[in-house]
Amino acid sequence: MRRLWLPFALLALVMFVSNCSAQASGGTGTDAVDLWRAGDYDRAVAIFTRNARNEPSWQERRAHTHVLLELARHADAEAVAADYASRAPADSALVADVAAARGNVQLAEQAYRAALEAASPDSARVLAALASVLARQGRWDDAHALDERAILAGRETFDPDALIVVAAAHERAGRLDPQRFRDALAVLDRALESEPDHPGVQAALADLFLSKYNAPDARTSATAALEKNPRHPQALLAEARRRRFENQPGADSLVELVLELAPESVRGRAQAGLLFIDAENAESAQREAEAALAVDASDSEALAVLAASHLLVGDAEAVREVESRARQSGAAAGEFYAILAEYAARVRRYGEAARLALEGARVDPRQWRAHAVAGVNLLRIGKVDSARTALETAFAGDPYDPWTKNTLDLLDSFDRFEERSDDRFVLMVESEEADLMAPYLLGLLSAAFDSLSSRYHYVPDGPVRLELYRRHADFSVRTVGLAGLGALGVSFGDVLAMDSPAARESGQFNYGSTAWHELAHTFTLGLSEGKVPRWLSEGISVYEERRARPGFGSRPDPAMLLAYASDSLPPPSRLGEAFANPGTPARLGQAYTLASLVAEYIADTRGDQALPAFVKAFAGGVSQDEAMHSALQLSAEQLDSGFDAWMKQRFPAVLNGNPERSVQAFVEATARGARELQSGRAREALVPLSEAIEALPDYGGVNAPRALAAAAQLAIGDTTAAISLLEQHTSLAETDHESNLLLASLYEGRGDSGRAVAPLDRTVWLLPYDTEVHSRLAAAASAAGKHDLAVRERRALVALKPTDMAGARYELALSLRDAGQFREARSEVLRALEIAPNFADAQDLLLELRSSGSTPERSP
Amino acid sequence: MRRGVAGVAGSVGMSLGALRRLCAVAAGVAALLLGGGPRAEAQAPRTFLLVVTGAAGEPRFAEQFSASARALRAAAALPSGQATVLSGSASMSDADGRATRETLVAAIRRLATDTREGDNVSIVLIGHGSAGEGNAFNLTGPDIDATSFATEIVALTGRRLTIVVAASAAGGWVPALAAPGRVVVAATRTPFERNESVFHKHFAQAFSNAAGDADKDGRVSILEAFIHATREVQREYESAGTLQTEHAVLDDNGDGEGSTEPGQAAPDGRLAMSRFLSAATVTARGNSPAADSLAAERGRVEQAIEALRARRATMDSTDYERELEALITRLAEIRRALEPPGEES
Repeated sequence: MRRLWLPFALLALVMFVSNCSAQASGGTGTDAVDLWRAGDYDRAVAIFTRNARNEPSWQERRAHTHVLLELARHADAEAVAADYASRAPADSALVADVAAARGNVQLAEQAYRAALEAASPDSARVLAALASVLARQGRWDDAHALDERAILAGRETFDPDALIVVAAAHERAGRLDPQRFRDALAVLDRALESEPDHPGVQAALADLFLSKYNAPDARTSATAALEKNPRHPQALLAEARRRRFENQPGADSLVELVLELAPESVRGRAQAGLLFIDAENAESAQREAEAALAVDASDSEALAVLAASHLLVGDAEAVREVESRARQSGAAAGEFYAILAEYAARVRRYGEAARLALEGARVDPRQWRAHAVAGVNLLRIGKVDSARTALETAFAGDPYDPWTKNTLDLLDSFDRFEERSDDRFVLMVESEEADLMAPYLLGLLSAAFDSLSSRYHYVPDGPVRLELYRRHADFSVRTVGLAGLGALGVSFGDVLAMDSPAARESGQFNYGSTAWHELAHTFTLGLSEGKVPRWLSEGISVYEERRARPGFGSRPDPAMLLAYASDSLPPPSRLGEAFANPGTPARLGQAYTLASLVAEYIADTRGDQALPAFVKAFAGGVSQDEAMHSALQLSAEQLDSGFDAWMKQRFPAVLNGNPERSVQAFVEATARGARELQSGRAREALVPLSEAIEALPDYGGVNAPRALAAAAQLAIGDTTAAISLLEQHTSLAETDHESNLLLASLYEGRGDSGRAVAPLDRTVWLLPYDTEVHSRLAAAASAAGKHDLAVRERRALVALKPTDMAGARYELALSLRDAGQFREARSEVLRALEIAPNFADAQDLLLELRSSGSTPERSP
Repeated sequence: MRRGVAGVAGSVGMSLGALRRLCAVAAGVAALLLGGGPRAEAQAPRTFLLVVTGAAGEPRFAEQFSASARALRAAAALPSGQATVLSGSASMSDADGRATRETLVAAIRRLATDTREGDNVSIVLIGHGSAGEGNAFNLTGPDIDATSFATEIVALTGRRLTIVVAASAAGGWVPALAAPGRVVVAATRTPFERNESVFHKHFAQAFSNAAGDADKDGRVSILEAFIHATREVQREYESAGTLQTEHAVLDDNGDGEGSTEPGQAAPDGRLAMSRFLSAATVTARGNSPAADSLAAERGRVEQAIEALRARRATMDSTDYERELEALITRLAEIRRALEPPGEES
């Protein structure tokens, strides 16, 4: 009995002394851990520090070191770990943890092994952490072997901090077997059972979910972590990444919070750099990357941000230097290349992205993300076969990746498409509408090419490829790998993709201006070697739309002007910010229009060659300020002030005086006019509508005062005035097919088919599937002697597969004859007669054409 | 198993006109074999039309049904007494009578007495149907179901009978009415397509719209009208952005399984090529040895065109077009030669 009693008595004494000591210093180790979990870092660190002298448990010693690492207080952590290791050899694991956090992999490996030799009570965690260090050096076989030992050792533990690291071991094993990610999830679930509120476990879950592209669950986990500890750096960064992943605002403020708390956080700095890359701010991105690398010189993400910052300004030599530095870090170079390739794609260097990703896949063949990024970007530059190979490799290794799966599914559907080409373009279009769409698009693209190449003094290297998708989801997958993209078209340089009108609500989508817009990007991207800032490229594209044809391109509306006047939109020199962080889709649309006005301002005030010179200046890898200075002889301030003065001249009624009141007056005048019109008082409606027109002459959007005034003039009976108003309105309104049809009807009603041609021609860019529009345009064009146009329209009617195919082909043959294309006419009338041999009119036309001596075209 | 009338129709790809003429020849041969040749020559087949609009329910339907009925009667352009319209709506003042089950049955029986074997008889029902027991066509008062209707038309055996059920839920009528030598059109594929049908509108319009005459021979066959109507129905639903809730079918091989895409190469469609609402018109210059010779040559040229088209896939396209053009040129010359004076272009 005495022998039994003695140990308990000694234990009680130790506990008493320890407790007295803890109480004297204001808390126990358990208290400190609780405070740490809740994010009360200062008090937690204070208790750990005070208790360090009182022989804390190994868990408390680990917690003390790790809370400092969580705050990125590396020097303090190093001192604490060294102190503990001097007293307990197994605590060399803590020294290793600090070394690993600073990228000192040799020291980390040595110290972890020392801890294991000293029979660390934390062996599962230490084994997995050692594996992580080996993996970072590319020693994957050794790493995988250690991971399996860690997993085995971790089966019996309920220590959540150890389980987080064991889960990472499963995640690494996922390189060999993608199903192992489920095991990682199960381990973290076990950790949560052990300690349900552990913010570190929730943050690790958020990271795991995000690595498998599961943003909703990542959000849930990050939220749970932040509910427990609103300042948890890893959880804040996970949520920031999740928001960027889902294109939601707020990532920047979360990263700022992390850096306030942990200024030396490598992940925080890298993430901040990444956001600067998104904003095309190379200088700030470089600063953040270098701050991260000052702590951990071989962090793959920070290295990728640094390389991306050089890529952004076109400093190829600096990029190569960073690549070389990354390659020295072994297999992590695969990750470096994958990340860098994604950045490159984000700033529209698709060819470079493909090259970098392929390099990543080469140095680390199990870097599945590198294969996937390579595949997507190879596809973007038109290398379909190589893209498929890379994507299939990626999918075999990572079947969770929805981009890869979606893109492979899309590639499988390519047999539904066919290609139509001329010497400058390859049009990939679904067979169902190839005959209809190809003549329009190839004709328009050709005109756009001539216009842009002559003014921008640039000719793309090879044929430009345009892919047209009848399902918006397919276009979206083609563009970003996922459904749900809001855009209408995209330019990857020499490869363009866009929605077919079939993918959009009838009449709401101008596919002509969209194609023109995307092709303009080909020229600005090509001329600047891919370095033109996004805002400028988009602005020029919209500006070029407006220049192209009456009715093409968006124009400023009251909300946009108000946003500009109230500084809700940044000035031209900082317009990139509005594209990087628009906040709302509406604000992004306004940024597009504002950018187009900046382009217009430059062309207007500095001459036609100023825009090409400005764009070309970026090819030299200079900053925006430098490009502005060299090409436009303007500083940022001069650009902003000059543009502001120009805007006030351009929109005096709104921007001079009180913009808010002016816009309000415009809205009220329009509404008053509409009310009068509805009440049958057409003459009374004209007064406020005229005021509204004067206030914002460029407006051609919904409820445009000119369209309402035209209706009022028609009600009064003044067709001439109505026609005049509709002519002006339809030259501004991009998608108003009803006004165009009305205008055409008014001309047709006057027997003036010639003037009906233009509004009907505008309508076919909105309603390409409407046979009546094509018929009317064909008839009007024929009557006006525009036989080539009539031929195009008759071809469209044939392509729409009418019930009366013989009749449609006969009409086409007539138009061909009128256009002097006798051989084609003879072929076409034969096709009509092939369907209906006894078609008397067609027989007569055939006899007529035979008598004229034409010979038929060879049929396809 | 579905079988067509391939023994007569011959190769796939034959034109509607040529096939029609071949069918006519075959019918003549059959008549001779049955010993009815001289009589058939003496009494040319006549054409009759009965259009019945059912209970409309709403004024807008009454207007639509009446418009379609009028369009069909006008397109048929038959002599008085050979076209009858019974209307389910009192508002159709130009109808020949009110449509009830009793008047419908009486009209069928009258057709049985007024017509003789070989005559063309078309019955078009326009309105609402129901998919309940017996697949009824809704009439003012008692409805008529498919089985009862089938019983009544037994009296029309021997006539070249075409029945169009342009009503919702009409799909159930096809198995009940299908028979050899009979063309049956239903506005819906199954009895379960019960929403209001717009097929009648497009079917009727096909006869007055130049677009309906796909082979440009001056007459719109039942097959041409069917194809026109189904495409326009599809277009109407697409334009409205709504799900298409009706898919018309045509059966003319008697197997009771309607085809949604009948045609020369389909199980159904060959008989419907030679069925019309209107009577044939005479366009030849009259009987003369020269005209007979030209008419015979025309038939041979048409057959040659069909044969050529059947070989198209195996031919060089230039050779094909050269031969086609030569044949069609000859066809055009024959047509001009056969046209009544003053009609040549």
